[in-house]
Amino acid sequence: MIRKQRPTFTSSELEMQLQQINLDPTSSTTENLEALAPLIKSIQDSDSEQLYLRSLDKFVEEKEKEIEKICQENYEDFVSSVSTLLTIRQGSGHLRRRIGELDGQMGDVGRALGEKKRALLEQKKVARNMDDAIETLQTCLRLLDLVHRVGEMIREGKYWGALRSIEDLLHLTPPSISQTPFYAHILSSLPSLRLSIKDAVTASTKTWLFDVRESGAKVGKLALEQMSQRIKKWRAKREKEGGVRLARVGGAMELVHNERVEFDALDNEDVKVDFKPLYQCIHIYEALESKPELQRSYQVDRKTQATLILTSRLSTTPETLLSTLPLLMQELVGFFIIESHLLRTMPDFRSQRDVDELWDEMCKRIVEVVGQGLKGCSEPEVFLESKTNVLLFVQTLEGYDYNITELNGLLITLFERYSELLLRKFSTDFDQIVSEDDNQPMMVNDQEEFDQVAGVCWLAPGEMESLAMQGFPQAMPFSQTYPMCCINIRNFVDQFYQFTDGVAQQHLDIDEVLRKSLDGLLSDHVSIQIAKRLQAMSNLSQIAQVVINLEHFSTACDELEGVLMKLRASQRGGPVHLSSCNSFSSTLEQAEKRIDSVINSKLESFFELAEYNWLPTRPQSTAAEPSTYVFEMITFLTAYVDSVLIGLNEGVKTRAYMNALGRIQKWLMDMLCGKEVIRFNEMALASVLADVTFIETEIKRLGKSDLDKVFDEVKHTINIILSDAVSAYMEPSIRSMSYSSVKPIRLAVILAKLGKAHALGGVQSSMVKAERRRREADEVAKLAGR
Amino acid sequence: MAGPHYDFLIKLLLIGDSGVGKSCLLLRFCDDAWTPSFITTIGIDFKIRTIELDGKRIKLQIWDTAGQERFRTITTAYYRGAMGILLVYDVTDEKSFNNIRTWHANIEQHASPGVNKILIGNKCDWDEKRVVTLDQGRALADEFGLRFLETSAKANEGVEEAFFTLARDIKTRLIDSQPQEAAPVSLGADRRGVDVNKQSSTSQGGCCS
Repeated sequence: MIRKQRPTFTSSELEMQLQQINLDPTSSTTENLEALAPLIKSIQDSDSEQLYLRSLDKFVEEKEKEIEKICQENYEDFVSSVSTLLTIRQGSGHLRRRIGELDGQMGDVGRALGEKKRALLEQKKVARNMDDAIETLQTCLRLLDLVHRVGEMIREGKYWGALRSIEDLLHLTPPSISQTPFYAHILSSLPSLRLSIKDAVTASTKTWLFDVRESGAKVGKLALEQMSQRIKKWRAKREKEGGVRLARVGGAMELVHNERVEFDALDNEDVKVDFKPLYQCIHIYEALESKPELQRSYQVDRKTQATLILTSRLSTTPETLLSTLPLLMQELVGFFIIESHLLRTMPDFRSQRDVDELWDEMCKRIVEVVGQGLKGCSEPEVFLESKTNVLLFVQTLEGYDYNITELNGLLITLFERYSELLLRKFSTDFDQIVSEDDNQPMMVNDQEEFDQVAGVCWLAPGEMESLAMQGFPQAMPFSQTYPMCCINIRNFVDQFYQFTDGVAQQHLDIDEVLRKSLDGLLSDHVSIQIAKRLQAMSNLSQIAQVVINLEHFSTACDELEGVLMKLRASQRGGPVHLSSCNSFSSTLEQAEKRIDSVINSKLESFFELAEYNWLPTRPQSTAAEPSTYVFEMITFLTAYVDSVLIGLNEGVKTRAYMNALGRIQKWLMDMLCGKEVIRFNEMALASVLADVTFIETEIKRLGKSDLDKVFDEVKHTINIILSDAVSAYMEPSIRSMSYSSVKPIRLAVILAKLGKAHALGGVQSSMVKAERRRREADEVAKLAGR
Repeated sequence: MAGPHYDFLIKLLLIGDSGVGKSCLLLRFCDDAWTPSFITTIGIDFKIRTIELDGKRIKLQIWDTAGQERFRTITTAYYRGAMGILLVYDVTDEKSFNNIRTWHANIEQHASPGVNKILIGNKCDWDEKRVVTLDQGRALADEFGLRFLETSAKANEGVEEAFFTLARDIKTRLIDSQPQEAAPVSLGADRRGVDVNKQSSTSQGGCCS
């Protein structure tokens, strides 16, 4: 719009500029002035202010002329406008009146409306109050519902939920009702609600306790069975491997071996004990802060249960014990496994002291029950079975960390009574075996019988082999006493160790008890019984059999020492020594003496048949033709000893001969020196010497060099006389060299008797001989006096 | 010696099968005892009992022999010295009765001529087991001209009578026939009581036949 080249301002331009300035009539003039700025600026830039002002004056002049022209031409319109205005004024007066009326009318309507509005507001307030009431009631209803739900939850067994609900009642109350009597009432009912929860949970625990009593027996049964499996497995392993024979079940080695087997008696495919009711109860009581009360009542209940299990079995007898005990053990094992489980899982609930109290009481009662059950019982099997039950019980519960000292004591008591019983039983058996034996060689008819005998008997090395080579029927060297005793010894040892198997070995030197018992049996009921029978035995073949038996028993003792050492339960101690060995040897000695006395009594019979003529004119017997009694005696003796003592070793036979011949020699000397025969002559002595020579010849044929010197005394004594060697005998050197066996006193007595015989002769030569013998007798007697 | 405590010595011999009860008869007669168990006699044994007969003390030395064949050598040696022989069988064992013939033949062969004999049927108390009747026994005794008695060592029946009868017969035969007896005499068909064949006493199996 700015024209620099030709600064001319036409009227139309100015009008347009003015129009621009007053474009918006509503706007303030100051703002429009801003539009002037560029205009003024362009005017100044072109230095045309004078020009512009003139143009502007000219523009105003034009416009005023225009207005004058318009006003000259249009006044009628003005007049009409004035009349129109009057009309309008009239109309507006009318309208004002109408409005006044309307306003009056409106005032009336408004007043009614106000009334209604007020009523409406009143209604609205009531409605709000009602809403509030409904809400409060609903809150209360919710509370009541909660209370009701508590009851339902109790019925459904959701005790914890019930308790939580009560807590909710307490803590989650809307403030709106917290001050209401209703709420106070609810609050006051809470204790009784809690009580009913407690009652319900207690009741459920009682039911649980009852159920547990039922399932406890099953738990116990399974636990015992499991343990017995374990023992069997361990035993099989022990037998297979040998080396761990001494390790017991429950010991470290066995535990490692059993590690892989996991068995929970309380939770397995057969039985599952659910502790939830109890846990819940404990939880609830804990929440109710009454745990001590529950602990007390639980302990009382369990005690009652334990007592119930036991007291019903107190009147057990030996007959019923074996049927009672397994069930009792099952129930108790179940009972204490449950206790152990609780102690482990709920240490805050069950104290070690409480469980120990139950356990100790039960231990005492078990001792009572078993003691009562075994009163007067004499069946080892009952003891054995009882022990097996108690032991299994102990082993099972040992694994649950119960103190088994008292029950071990029971086992040891059982063991002591059992071993006493065994001793009694076997004593009787052994006595009977010994007393009923006919002491005749045992006959074995076939291989089977032989194997049986050889299987039980302990035999000296090589004996079995030499026996096995003979045919059947075969007479064994021993009589039936021996194999029967061997069987019994084996049975005794077996039964003994059967009992001790598994019994805690550290408490008792079981091996020593066995050794003593066995020693007692063998000494008092075999050896001494045999010795007693020997005294009444006069049949030599029977006595010989006894000797053989005793020799075998000595072998058995030696072997048995080795057997006992191998079987021993503990590794303590050195070699086992059986004192019954000595007893057997002393009985053997007695048996040998008995042989001597039987033979001697036979010899006595022959002595009675001797019919010596003491004053013969010529010798009545010669070495080839001895006295009848001597011939018969020696014939009998050799036949007797050789045939009857056939099974005995040469030593015993030689000993028997030595005794018999010694007896004969003594009898001869006693006869010559004794008071019965007052006098005899040299011919009589020659007869005696002939008899002795016969005997010696016979004995020599036996080939026993030990027997050569038996008759030296009688032989040499007579020889001195018959060979007129008395003076030589007086020489000490000759005496000691050739006649050491001659006793001077006896020689003197014999010489004196010869003198008396000669004195009877009456003739001179006899008197000389008599005198000489008397002198010799005196001289020899002096030797004796020194 | 002060002299024997008896007037006469008589030697008797018991023979018969094994198990017929010879030792039991002897035990009953000498010790008045009995044992149920069967104890085989090994070889030879003897017992002595002094009895009184017509006012005389008679010492009986009774030899008990093993019935078993294996001891026959030893036992046969005693036949000759015996003055009286008791042939024993078991009335419950027919074989032992039948074997009496053999035993009798042995006597004929080995014993002194004229030896007194008696046939004894032992175990006569055992009726339910008896197989040899009294008459059978008597018939056999008659056949051999023997005295005959049934005995029971167990029940003590006829035992005394058997020994006494035999002793009396011997006394009658040997002592009463002698005009006078100054001193106790041992009477025997043979001076030597035992006739021992020294070879057979050492060699096995030398049995009589």
